[in-house]
Amino acid sequence: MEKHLSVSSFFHAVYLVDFSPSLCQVARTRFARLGWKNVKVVCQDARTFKLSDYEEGHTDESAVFSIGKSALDESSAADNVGADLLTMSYSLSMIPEFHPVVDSLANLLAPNGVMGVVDFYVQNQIQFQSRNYVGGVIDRHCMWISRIFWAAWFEMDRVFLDSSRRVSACQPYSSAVTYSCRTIWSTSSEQS
Amino acid sequence: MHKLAALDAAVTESPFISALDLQRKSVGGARRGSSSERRSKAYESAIFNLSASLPLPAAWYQQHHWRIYYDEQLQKHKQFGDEYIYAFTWEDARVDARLLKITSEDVVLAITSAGDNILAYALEQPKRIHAVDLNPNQNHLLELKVAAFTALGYTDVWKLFGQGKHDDFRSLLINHLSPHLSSQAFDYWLHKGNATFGEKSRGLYYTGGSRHAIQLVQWLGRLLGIRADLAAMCSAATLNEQREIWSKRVRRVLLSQFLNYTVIGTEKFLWKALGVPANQRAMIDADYLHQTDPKSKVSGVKSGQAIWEYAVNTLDPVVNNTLVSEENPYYLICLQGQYTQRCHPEYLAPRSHVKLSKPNAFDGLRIHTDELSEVMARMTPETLTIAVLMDSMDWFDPAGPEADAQVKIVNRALKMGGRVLLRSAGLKPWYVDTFEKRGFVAKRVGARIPPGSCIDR
Repeated sequence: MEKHLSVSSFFHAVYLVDFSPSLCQVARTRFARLGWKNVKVVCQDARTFKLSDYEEGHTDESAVFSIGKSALDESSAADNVGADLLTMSYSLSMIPEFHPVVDSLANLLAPNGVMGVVDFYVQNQIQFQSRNYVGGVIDRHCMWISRIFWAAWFEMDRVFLDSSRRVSACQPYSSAVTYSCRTIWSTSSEQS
Repeated sequence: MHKLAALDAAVTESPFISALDLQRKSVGGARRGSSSERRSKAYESAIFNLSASLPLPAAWYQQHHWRIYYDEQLQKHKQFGDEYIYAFTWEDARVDARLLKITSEDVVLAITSAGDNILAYALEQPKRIHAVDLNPNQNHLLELKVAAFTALGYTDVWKLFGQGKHDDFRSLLINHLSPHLSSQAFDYWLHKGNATFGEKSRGLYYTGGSRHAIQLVQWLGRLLGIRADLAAMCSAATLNEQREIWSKRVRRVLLSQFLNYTVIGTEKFLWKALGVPANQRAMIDADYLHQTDPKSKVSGVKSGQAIWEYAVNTLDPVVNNTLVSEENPYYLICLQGQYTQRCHPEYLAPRSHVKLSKPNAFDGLRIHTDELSEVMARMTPETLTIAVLMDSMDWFDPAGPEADAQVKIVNRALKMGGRVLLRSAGLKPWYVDTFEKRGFVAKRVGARIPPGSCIDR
């Protein structure tokens, strides 16, 4: 990120959420060394992370747990505080229970926020055909050997490449830019 | 919903919704009323997706409204694979400009091809340009050119489209061009960019179906030992010098009968390299027969011979009348696979860059991915003033109903007094009659008769 923007001055705040204490410690040491005071490392289960718990301006009303609310009903479900940019980098495939996390994305994002996701995946073309909102399908289809092999291979490290993860994280939103390439995919979705 | 209406209006050339009622009052209503059924594809997709609680297509989130929404997963678009046919446009944009005299009031519809002609029209700054191609990859190429003019300086634009190579394409694409591209075009160039412009590639003009033509010229050059002559022709300083090289060596080899029978006359070469479909080839054959022996029948004609005749008629006057190294970029690109600062299409000149890199230079551009007839059928009647159909109608079957249907649609989309520019490989295209039956007046503005006259330049 520093290659494109000055992280310490461009952003009001950056929240880094991870459930691994050792990784969080590595990150904290790094940001302390860089002197980036606006980057906050939160060691927390992503299923329960809420921005308003950390940002000022939250009220009792908005502190209500976000899960279970319709992402489409903006008036009641939206948090008072929303992130302008939300990224998930090789994390969607590693969170064992991804549904509650995917559900909370809409509430974490500000109304015109941008979401960027990059992760591993395997998919058959049947799983995206006849959908006019996926925005670019070159090389998206994986042949059957690679679908079976890579899914089983990554499973040994508790990383799950199942198609439903990509679909559930990206399908609710319109994709502004999509790019797939062998063994890596990246989808950036814009919510409006 | 406001955005929906605005976008739909921009695409269909229909009056903007809020102005619709005013318009109806002043015009009388009956005719304009039909525009409520004439919707853009983007509009239809939005209505469908919203009613099914699906997100909107990526086209709704582009920074620019140039590229019109299309469904990339339809078979009619997928048939082209990931390849465009034309990496450069054969048609001479300067001749077109002289004939058409585009003004700021014109609404132009043209086939995208490699987009060179579209950029040439954009230099004239008409009110609107509709670029149409069924092959999405041709439109990706045009989008890349438009994005390059919008975001890059002259040096980078020249490297990309003059020389056809750029050693830093990927970073240009990601850091500078991506905000100006549609999702599909970005996806395409991120996959294809390095193979097209990168260090290991031979450059843009060696990609696409048209590369076969360039490669053949170079392969022949090597095989027949005229490589040095071709290079000399590309840099000849005077017309006499060029004529001499041509007639003494190159002509004998390039236009030899042997070559025609073995290579150029074959079906595969014509389609792949030159993009000449079977129906167009039949027209060239018929003209050849007509000129040699009007009584003979089509059967038994040696196609190779007809093509040979065609090549003689086209190439000879070009070499005799225009200096390739300075004023004929169309032949230069075939000979050496890149342009030079002395010789290039108008849009690659520094002064064109000044014009095309202005913030609003492409406001009037719409890039449609569909059949010509499909695009025109969705337009409000009496919208276009100029339709440049190139040789697209050569592709139709003379016995089929397609030509008449197309002429009918063109007629409806054109304003009174609107013009259609046709190019054909045939001397008397059979479909000119179809146009005349529908109320057009036909006028031939250039032809390769008498033998020896020059139509390009």
